[in-house]
Amino acid sequence: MTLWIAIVVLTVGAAALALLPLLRPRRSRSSLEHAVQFYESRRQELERQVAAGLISESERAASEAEQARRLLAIGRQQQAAEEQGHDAAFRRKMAALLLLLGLPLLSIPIYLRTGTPNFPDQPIASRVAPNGDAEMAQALQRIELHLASNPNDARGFEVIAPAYMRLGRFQDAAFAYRRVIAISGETAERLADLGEALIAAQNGIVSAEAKEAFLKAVALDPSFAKARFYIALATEQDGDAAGAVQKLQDLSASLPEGPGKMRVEAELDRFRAEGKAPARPQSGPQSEAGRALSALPADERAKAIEGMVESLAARLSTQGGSFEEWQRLIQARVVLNQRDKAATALAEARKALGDAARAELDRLATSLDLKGTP
Amino acid sequence: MIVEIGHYALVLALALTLFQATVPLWGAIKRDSALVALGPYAAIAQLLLIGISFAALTHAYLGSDFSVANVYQNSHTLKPLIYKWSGVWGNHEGSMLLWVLILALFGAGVAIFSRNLPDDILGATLAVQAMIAAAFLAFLLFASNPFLRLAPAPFEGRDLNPILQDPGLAIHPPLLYLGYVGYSIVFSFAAGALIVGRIDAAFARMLRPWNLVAWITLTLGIAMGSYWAYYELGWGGYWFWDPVENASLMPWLTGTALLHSAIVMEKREALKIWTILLAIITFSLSLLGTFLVRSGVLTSVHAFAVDPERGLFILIILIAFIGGSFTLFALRARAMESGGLFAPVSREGALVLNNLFLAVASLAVLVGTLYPLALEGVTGQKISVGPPFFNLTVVPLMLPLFVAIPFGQRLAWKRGDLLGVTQRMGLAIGLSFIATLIAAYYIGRGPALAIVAIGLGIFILLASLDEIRERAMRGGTSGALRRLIGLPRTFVATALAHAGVGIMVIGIAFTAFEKEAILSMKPGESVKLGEYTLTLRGIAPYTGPNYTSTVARFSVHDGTREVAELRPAKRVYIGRQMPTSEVGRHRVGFSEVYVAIGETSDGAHVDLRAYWKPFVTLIWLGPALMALAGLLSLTDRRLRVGAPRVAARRPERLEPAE
Amino acid sequence: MTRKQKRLAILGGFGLVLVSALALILTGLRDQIVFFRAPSEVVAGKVKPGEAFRLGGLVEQGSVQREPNQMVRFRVTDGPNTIAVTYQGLLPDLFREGQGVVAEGKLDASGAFTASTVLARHDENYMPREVADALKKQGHWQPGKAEGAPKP
Repeated sequence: MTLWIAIVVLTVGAAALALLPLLRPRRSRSSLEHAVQFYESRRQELERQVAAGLISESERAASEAEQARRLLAIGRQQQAAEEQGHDAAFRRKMAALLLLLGLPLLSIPIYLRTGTPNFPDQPIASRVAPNGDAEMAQALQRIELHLASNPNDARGFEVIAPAYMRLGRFQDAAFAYRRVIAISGETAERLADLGEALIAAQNGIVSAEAKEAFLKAVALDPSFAKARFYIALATEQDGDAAGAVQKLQDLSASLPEGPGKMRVEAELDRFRAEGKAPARPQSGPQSEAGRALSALPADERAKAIEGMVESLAARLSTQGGSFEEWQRLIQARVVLNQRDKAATALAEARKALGDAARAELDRLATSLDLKGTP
Repeated sequence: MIVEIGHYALVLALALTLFQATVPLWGAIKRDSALVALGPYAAIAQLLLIGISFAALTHAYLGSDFSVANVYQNSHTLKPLIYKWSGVWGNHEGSMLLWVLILALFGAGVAIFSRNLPDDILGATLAVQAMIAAAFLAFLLFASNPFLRLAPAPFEGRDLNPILQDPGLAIHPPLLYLGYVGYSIVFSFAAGALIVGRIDAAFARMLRPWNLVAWITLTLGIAMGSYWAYYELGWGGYWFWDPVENASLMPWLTGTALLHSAIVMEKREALKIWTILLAIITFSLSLLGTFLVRSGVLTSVHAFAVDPERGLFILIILIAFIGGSFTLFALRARAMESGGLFAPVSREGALVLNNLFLAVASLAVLVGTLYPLALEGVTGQKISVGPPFFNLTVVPLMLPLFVAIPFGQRLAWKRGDLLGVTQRMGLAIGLSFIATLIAAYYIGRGPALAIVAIGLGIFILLASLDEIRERAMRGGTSGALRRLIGLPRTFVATALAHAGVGIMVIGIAFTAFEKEAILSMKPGESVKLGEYTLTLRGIAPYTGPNYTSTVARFSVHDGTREVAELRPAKRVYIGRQMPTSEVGRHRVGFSEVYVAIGETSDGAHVDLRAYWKPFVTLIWLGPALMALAGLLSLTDRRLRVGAPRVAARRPERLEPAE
Repeated sequence: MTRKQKRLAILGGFGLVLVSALALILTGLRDQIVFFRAPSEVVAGKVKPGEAFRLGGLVEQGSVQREPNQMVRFRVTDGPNTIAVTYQGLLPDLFREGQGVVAEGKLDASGAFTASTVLARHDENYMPREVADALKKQGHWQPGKAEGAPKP
């Protein structure tokens, strides 16, 4: 409400200020008047110059003749203008009307389109962090300071690296993992974490360093699924699509049923869909953590998956997302046997993505045997 | 709520500019002073609204309101307060808001000082200014809105680039924008004069103060930007011919030309077409600069907003304004009859020469800046046009101009006497010759061209000061001081500004004689830099509020006497692993010892880059003097729009108003 | 001199300045420009040894070796191909492994690149445009994802 009062005050205030001169008119200054003054000052200047001996008398005379010609020309222009009729009163009314109506008629619809009325200010001081994000930032700051003076504290780097990953500071996460490895030695887990951070930092490109990390991880633990998966992706990015498919198929065969296997299969589906299309970098780190899950015990895994799905759902419904993300959510719901929630998500997706993704969503609904509101 | 009020104020400002773009223009065409009078008040209302908007965004920054997307992306709760302030305009959206704020500031400035402007020019000028504002407000609201909100709001922002955490950032962009945008009002005056068809000496005088204000701020902005790069980037350079630097240099060159040609127009009714054209070109180049900076189409060390779509928007604005004004120009060109004749050797002739060289230099910079774009568009080949190109083209164009300065400012109007002028400068020529010889003797061996350039700088400086002396002494030594104070300020300002050019030339020429040492040092080792010895005393870590740094401690010796201790540092902002340099500098007169260090891997030795830079500060003191001279000129009473007070009252008697 | 002759002389002077300025600009454009090349183009033999050019790409992870006397060796990659670079001097603040870089210099007879200048950029997120283009050509760059992919 206060906002709307402010809007009215601003609008009326601006219009009133702009219309003020209609009540208190400005003293008119015609061009001729201005020109007369200007040339008068010039004449005085010329006199001064003659007095100071800077120019000769004849030069002054020539200058003045020139000025006189200018004045005559302006006077003629002015006369021509004055011969036009006067409709001053009508024009003033029009101007006032234009302003009083035009201002709100233009600005309020535009504001309603671009603005977010009723959205309160949220200065940080007035906010209570519900999920400890602010505390986490402060804790992070403390750990960083601690690490700056204790660069050999592996435990500290181990704690901070996943926090960096969550904040999207992948370079820093990679740096932290490298420190951990340098201090406490290589394990398959640590190497794979490092590789993952490197990939995230490179927007999904498996760099040489990342690949090397995964290869080392596999050398330490040949059955380590996460590392094998990325090696397969690296193979694809090196241009060897067939090799990648081979590796993925081997990996899929060795995995038990579960999200990890689903992820690998999804990747294989992509290859099939692309029909061995030239290698593109794979859609990146979005779902990578999924495979790390396969290492967890079964009950923990289920809980973790559920949590991830819920957070994805929350994010998509508040901030929206791409078709792929919606697809992931819907598929996950189906897998988790939450068919009603899957249908809701489908309906939401239709609303959020609009016409652009209708065909794809229809296809998805059919393949999953879902009835979303069309 | 404050954020939303700021947002609405911006929208309202857009609606108001549409009003201001039409009604006063209608009034100007119909010669209806009541309608014209609405313009100034609308302009002031517009400034207030955009001011409210800017204040609201600042408020959001200071309170770390991360529900505003712009604040979330560019701020952080742990950022020092001053950088929360400067963060407001340290990003694309905020800087464009600053752009329109300054635009409104100039519009309101004209409105406030409009009492003596004739109705028709005032109405048309404010209308054109409002059109520019409307275009940029629309760009702001629809393509880069700083007031977009985030739900749910994050709890921590994403910081500002540490290298932009510098006091220079707090002042540099606003100043540069002030100059860029200042030329908008010059453009509006020119377009207004074209619309009402009144292009004469009186118009040139109306234009002059605004032209000066824009020129002063742009001069200061460029100088500060150069100084900022010098001490912040740690490369020891002051000008890199970077596209963004070029983008500010081009309007400066044509703006300087405009400053000179407008004098001819004011005093002699000549060069009218050219002056109007220069006003249009200068603002077009400012818009082009905005486009280049904002679109990131050019690879540049400055590009902190890379967004082709926004670039396209600005490109459309650019084309609309340039196209519109040139059409208007073509329609009115015939109405601009030429004025006084003059001999080639005359003050006018010298000013034409100045314009010729400045315009051509600007063209060379333009070609060098846009050629890579054009080539890539046509052939797909990527090239870079670097300092060698600009040094080859711009320097030879500037040298004759510098030579001409002392002569030009002494030549008489209409017909000058070159020989007489040269004779009158005998003293200055002799003194500068001696000074150059002394300088060359002390420098020892070096590039001849640089020594010639030093001589040239000294000549410009001495000749300019000598002119003031000569005018004050005219009529004997008695009363010289009184005459000195009584000299017209515009005259003194001209001489001082040219002296500033001389000082800058000396500073630039001396860069040829700087001493450089790039090496690796251990504590206790020394290196010789010119007359100074730099000794590394120690390397120590240091932890600041949000960074760790390696600080190297150097002592500077002049012979055996220690004259200074320097502490250059390499900072790494915690968590980001992103280093920045803190330069150590010791000033001796106008010269400097300058040390920057690299990253140390072992703490036992440090890589460094050290310079002895003779007279380096002159590079920025020169432009500072030029700007000061501009201010002095601005205070000249004769220059005030309209006329001296005595004359201002007279017309009221002639034509009683309403 | 008659008035006509005078006017001709003035116009001639103008023309002379303009023509010489244009000549300068054209000479500059012919001799003073530097081409930009990606490692793949260099490997494909588009650059002659001794020709100055700008090499752009990513600094390969783990390739930076610092030696005494401020000598630095690193490799610049655009994915499929890699060029070894040597440089003597201080590296810019933003030079980091895995980040975009532009180096100006020459190839020697053995195909190694000696840089006279190394440029990195002000903004740590900013990819030099030529580098981005070159990487795009190799399919290793997705513009929409520069912001960092979110984690689930």
